[in-house]
Amino acid sequence: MNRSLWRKAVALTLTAAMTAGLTACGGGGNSTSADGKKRYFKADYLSDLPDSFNDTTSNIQFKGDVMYYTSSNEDYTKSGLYSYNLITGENAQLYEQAQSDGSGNSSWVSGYTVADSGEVYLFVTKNQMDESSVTEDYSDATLDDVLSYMADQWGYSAEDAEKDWNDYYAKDYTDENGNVNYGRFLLAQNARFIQTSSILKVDTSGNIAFEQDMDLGANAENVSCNGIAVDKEGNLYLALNTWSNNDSGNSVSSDEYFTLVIGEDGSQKGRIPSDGYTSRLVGLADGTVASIGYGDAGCELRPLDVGAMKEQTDKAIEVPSDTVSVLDEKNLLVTEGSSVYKYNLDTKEKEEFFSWMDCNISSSSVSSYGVLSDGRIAAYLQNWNSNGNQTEIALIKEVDASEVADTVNLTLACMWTGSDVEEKVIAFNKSQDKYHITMKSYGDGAEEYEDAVNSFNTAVTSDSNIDLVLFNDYSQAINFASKGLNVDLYGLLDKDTELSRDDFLPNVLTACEYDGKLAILPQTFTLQTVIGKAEDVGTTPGWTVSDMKALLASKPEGTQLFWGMDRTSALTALMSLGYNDFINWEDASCNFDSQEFIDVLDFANMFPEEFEYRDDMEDSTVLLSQGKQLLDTYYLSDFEQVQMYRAIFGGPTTFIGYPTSEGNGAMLSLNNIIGISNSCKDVDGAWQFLRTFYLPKKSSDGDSDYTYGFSIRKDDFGKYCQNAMKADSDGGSTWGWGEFEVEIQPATQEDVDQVKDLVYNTTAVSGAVSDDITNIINEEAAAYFSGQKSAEDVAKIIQSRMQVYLSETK
Amino acid sequence: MRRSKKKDFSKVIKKQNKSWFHRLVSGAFLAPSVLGVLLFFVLPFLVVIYFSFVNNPVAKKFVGLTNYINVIQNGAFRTAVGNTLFFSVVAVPLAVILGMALAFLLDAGIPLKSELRSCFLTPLMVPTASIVLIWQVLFDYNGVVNVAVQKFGGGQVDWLKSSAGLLVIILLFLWKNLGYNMILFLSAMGNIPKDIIEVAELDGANRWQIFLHVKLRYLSPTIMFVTILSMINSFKVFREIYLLTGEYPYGALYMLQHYMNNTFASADYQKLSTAAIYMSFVMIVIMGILFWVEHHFGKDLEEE
Repeated sequence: MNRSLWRKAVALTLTAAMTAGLTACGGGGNSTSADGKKRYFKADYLSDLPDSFNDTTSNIQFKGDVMYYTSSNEDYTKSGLYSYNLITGENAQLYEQAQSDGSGNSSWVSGYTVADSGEVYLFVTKNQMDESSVTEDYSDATLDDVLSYMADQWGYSAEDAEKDWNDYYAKDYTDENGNVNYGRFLLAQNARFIQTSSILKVDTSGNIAFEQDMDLGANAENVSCNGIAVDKEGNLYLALNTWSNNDSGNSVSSDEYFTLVIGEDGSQKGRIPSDGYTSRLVGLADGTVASIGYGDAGCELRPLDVGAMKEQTDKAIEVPSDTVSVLDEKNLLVTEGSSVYKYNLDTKEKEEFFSWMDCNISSSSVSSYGVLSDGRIAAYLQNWNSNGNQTEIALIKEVDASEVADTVNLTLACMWTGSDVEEKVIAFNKSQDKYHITMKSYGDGAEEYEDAVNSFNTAVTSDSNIDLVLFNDYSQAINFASKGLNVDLYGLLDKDTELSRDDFLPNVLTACEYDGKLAILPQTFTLQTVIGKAEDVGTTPGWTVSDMKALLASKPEGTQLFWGMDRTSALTALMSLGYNDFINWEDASCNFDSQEFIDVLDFANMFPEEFEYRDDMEDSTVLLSQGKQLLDTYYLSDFEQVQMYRAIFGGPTTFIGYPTSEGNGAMLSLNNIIGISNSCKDVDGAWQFLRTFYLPKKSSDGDSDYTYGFSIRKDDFGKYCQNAMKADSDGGSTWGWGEFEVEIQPATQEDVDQVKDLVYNTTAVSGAVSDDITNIINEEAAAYFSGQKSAEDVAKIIQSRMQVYLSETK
Repeated sequence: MRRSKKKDFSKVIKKQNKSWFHRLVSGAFLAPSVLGVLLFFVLPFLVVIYFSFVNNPVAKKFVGLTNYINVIQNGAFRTAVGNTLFFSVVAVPLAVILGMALAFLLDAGIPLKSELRSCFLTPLMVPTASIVLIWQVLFDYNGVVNVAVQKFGGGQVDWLKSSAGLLVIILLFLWKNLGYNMILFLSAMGNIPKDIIEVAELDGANRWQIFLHVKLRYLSPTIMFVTILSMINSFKVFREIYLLTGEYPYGALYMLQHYMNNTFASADYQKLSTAAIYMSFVMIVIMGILFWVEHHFGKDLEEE
């Protein structure tokens, strides 16, 4: 009997365990390195590069210990291919050609490859003017004619035209004796250009072994060389993309992708058709060549069979990206996200080789890289910012842990890395050696968005090594905050000697609070609202659906509220903030079955069932200017657009906002939202990083860290407003949209006051609730819009489903 | 008359050694399964219990019964419990009774017995996605059923977005599970000793008495097994409801598994764990009751 009871107790316990197993499934996570040991890398930067490595340098390739590149000389008359041995410092010019002949014709190296034997193969493109295509005579043209052309046709001011002429154009029309041919410039603007291509082989002594023009047949007026490689037998492979244009410059033939094979003697052996787009060619360690490109199966590496003249699609290997290079016979190096992986060709498995972030390098700045014979990794880095194009050569080596300063490693979890935050992390890591922030992305490799979300959620809630979290959007951030997963940043902010609550825009701080605690902080913000003509919508922001209906009713038939609006998009716009009128968040109740909501459905039903675009439709700017369209969605992130809209509407405008019974109808959109996890091992260290986003800018900082949106610091936002009121140093700019072009003037005090008023008084946040609310409404309303159900029936269903949703969130 | 027994200790030791060897071998064979159960069911269950007593998975602060109080006060949880309970209370007995009735029907030697058996088993072979597609075609607002209803002068019913949805789900559940239950009962009926029935008949028992006092008694372990199986399947009906109606269905179709699935998606592991413990507790109670019933009514059979 006792035994029977025991058995039954065990059975019941297991029943419970198995029932609990019904709860949910899922999970995931990132793999660690094969041996599980933390590896350390250090990047040194080459400072003594040869003179030929200058601002014009491009096409960098690494092969063995040698870096190859193309460069132009100072006056852009000549260009060449150079080699630089990164270990010995030996520098050589391998090839040189005339880049510009002073008459508008030009020539450049589009691609090249270096064989193991040292021979160089080049793909050279020439652009030659077809003088017979122009009938006018420009032989007597002067500088004034040129400047007038630039002013009339390109909208240049006289001053800008002269500056750009001297800086950029004059060199192409100046012969070797210094004579400027102004007529050729004008001729070039009207003439048709003929593009020709040729291939060259340069032997190890620098002599041209062969040179021959390419004849690619019909529909190959334009040629782009996407890849070039040579195999062990000396066959040259060119991955080409050809197309032809009509006189208007539009493509008249569809793009064709193929790999052209040229024998050792320069003869064309044949074409290998490409199964999809080929983005590059790579010489494999066994001496054969493979194409890398995107097909139906994604990015793949396809070995080329020169005998059968085909891609061996049956031997294709799926690779995460087309940034692939050969490490050795068994392994490729493949870039994915911010890491480089070793990809084993036999096992098809990948193992993280190193992360650019670990070397304090932004992956977005890496143009090309290769592995040197001593194991170091050479990388060519290119950064575009407001200070221009900055290039560097980094040499990365793995170092022993003892060589690295004793740092506290903090992990910043994210779904996908973003360049803004990545740059901040790198700058922080470089600025001190007490802490090292590592970004860990959980969305890389996820096939579906939900997979990425689940992987991220699981990691943030269960991985105790996560210290900081970069949220994908506001609703995700607030969801985590509501579970108490984030540190209260007020405690850290209040202790900070350089920052205080008063430094920040109060409404943004409020938006970042949960339960009175500062759960998150965004890097910047923008505003989303609706703009209308003040004459139509009044001068005070904020209105209701009834006001909107009344406005539309007061206008002639055919007047639109928004451009291209159908019933579903109308309902989405009406509910952007309007859902708040039907939800009581306090007790998680709703009244979507009320007459007011039925009226909203009826109003949305007045719009066309589906918007059908036609080519002859007038664009939004024309309709707005003619009063046939009353409103437009507005994403406020600068002052220029304010002027643009004023010009389009033909009078003062108001940020009237989305209809709602409370507030001004605008929403804050927060960018790069970061929080500190309660599992953070060094909260002070995490704050040291986070505060770098908000520290007052030093005058030496310049604008190099420009990011989209307004700063959440009051003084930065104030300065931005002040600067907008000053005349631009370069004489202003011209903004164009559709039929309209506006010469941007300094913002007026009225403009600034209007924007400031909007910024300081907006409390609603875009994405404050999940998409489920919009989805439920739109899914059910569709049955009413298509005439299948009554508005009342639909409202009842929405009420039932929404009540379930709200009850769950309580 | 008493006979004295003399024990042969060498045989006893051999028997004991053999017994230990047998235990060792059976233990070795059982170990993978036991380990699997421990690793994949018992350990996660313990984690779920732990999660139900902490504030969040990161801070892991013990909060006593707070999560239990919050969940029991949650409107969505209560709706889900109500709907799931109603569904189970209606669908499970129906699945057992109808399954048994069908088995008796087929056992009665009706014509086309084999064809009917195959027919009832067919739903088991259809994948869930296809089942959902079939039922969508049938019960959509513009589906076959509504067309038929309209032909007979009735009005369109929004089957999947009204309280009628529960009826559709019960039908779907029965359609899918009746065949399997029927087979289990048929198999059990084959094991009822014929001699006992014959004795009962000789004693003058009528059909009803034979059914009630013989067949039903012998079927009681199967009834319990089928009930437990149907209960588990009733919890699994979420798959079909989810595919038919999504994460946030009409209120009447919102089940416990919706609540759990949605709280998992929103990383609300405390609510999820607590709800799972509640559900386990209810399952334990129900299973306990079933064990007791089976033990109580099937005791005489075991003793036989």
